[in-house]
Amino acid sequence: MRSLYKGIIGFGLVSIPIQVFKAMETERVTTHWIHEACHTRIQYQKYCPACERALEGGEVVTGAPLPDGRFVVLPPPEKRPAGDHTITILNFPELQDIDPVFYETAYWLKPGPGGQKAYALLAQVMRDMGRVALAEMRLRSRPSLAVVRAFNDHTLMMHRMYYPESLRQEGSGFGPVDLAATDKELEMAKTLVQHMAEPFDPSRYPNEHRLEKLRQIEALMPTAEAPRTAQPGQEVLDLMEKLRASVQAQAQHGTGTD
Amino acid sequence: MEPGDFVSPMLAVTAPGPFSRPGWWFETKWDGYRAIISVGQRYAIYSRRGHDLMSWYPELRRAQEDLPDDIVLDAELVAWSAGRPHFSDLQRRSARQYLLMVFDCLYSQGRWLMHEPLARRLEELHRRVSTRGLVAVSEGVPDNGAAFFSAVRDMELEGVMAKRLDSLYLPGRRSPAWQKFLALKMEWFWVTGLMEASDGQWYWLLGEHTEGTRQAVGKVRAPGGWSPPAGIDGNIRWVRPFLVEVAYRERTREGHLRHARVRQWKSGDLGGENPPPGADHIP
Repeated sequence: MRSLYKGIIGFGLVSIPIQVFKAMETERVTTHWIHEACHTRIQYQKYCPACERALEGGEVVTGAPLPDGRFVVLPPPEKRPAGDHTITILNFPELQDIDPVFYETAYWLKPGPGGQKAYALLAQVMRDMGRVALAEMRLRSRPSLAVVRAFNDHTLMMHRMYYPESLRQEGSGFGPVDLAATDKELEMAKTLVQHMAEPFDPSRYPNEHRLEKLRQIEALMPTAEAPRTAQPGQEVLDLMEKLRASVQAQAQHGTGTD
Repeated sequence: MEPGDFVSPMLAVTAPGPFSRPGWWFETKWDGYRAIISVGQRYAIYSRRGHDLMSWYPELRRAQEDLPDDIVLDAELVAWSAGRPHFSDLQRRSARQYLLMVFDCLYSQGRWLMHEPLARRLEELHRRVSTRGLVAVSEGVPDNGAAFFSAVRDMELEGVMAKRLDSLYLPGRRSPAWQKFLALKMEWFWVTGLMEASDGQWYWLLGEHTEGTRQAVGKVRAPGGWSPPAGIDGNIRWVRPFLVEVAYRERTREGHLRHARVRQWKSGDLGGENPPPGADHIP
């Protein structure tokens, strides 16, 4: 498991160094589009239909459309200094105050060097008091709301959240309001629910679709073929792609100017 | 001047350090021999000084299939193996694969482009040449030279060429519009001994002369395909010293080389060939 970044939880005067790891494995089995004839991974080009040619990275900018069809060109996102990954605790609500609709992505938090004690303390206190921490976080340059909570007695987890204003409010009125059921109907429904009431047991719900796909890949393994791409041209392209990706990653993490 | 004739390649100055700068183009400095490729009335690949590279590397004749007609390109010839260029294979002409890393277009379809800005020449290069067979179009990034340099250094490539996108092509001139950042240091050392590791890999023990005494600077893996002369076995053997050029990242506090690898060596008692006389590498 690779850490996404190192950061700091700011909690009053205390700051706790942490590492952030993505908590969830992607559910999808990795697949790529390849050219059937030669098994080469296809490439996408940034093509300008007006100028009838493929563009290079430096020629492409971000434009926001206006209602009248014009565009304003946005400046490239400001580079942030590396290590500016602060999770600032705003307050401590109770978990049930926060509707699950706002949760987006879950991360494990691991204490960094020197942060063990404060980390353990924060986890224990939140668990004892039945509270979670509402925080403001930054991942890359994007700020979000987040909840930091004790997952168990000793480990903290963070959930990146949607901003509450993103919720499409009109959906909350989809259910009928004045449709009273009779006592008998209610009684029947309750009996049915009680009959099916069970605790949640994660091990009972494997991802069958994914397993099926993995079995399918395994069965097809004898037919696997290497890309019939002219070597070493592909290796050069791969090398140059790695260089480009590294430059891009550095630009995103703001470490491009050492 | 006609396509097919030799054009003396433009040269770069060494930058004091890597920089990022708007309006500049940054590409990999490939470790090989400079090559001017001419496809016109005749097909020729010239070294930096105008010698015929194809007489040294007959494999390059096949590259004509991968090149368009009526074009003059600036390129670096590299020996490619295991995902990266190996200068020593080029020097010994022992590479299984050669690649022409093309990075500039000086003439295309009846027109010389040397008086046009680099940006325009790159456009023409990408329009007419694509990566296939023995030809690869060298790619780069605009503006962000420092990040590109650190990527190049991480992959232990030779360095970065920085070029002003509005610069013209000045044949044979060393111009500040082209600058290079070197990620690897290159230095000549004496090989003073041979050592066989437990896995059978041979190492060369390196030394240098400083203030009249010979100092050990560590060891370097012997080049692939090299084998010790008959009669040598066992752990460490001292040999009559011969010269080797080593590319390395940096020195440890004790003066030993880190990430060292053989670039080329002078023929000595242990075999190895002279570099082809016509092929002069850009310093």
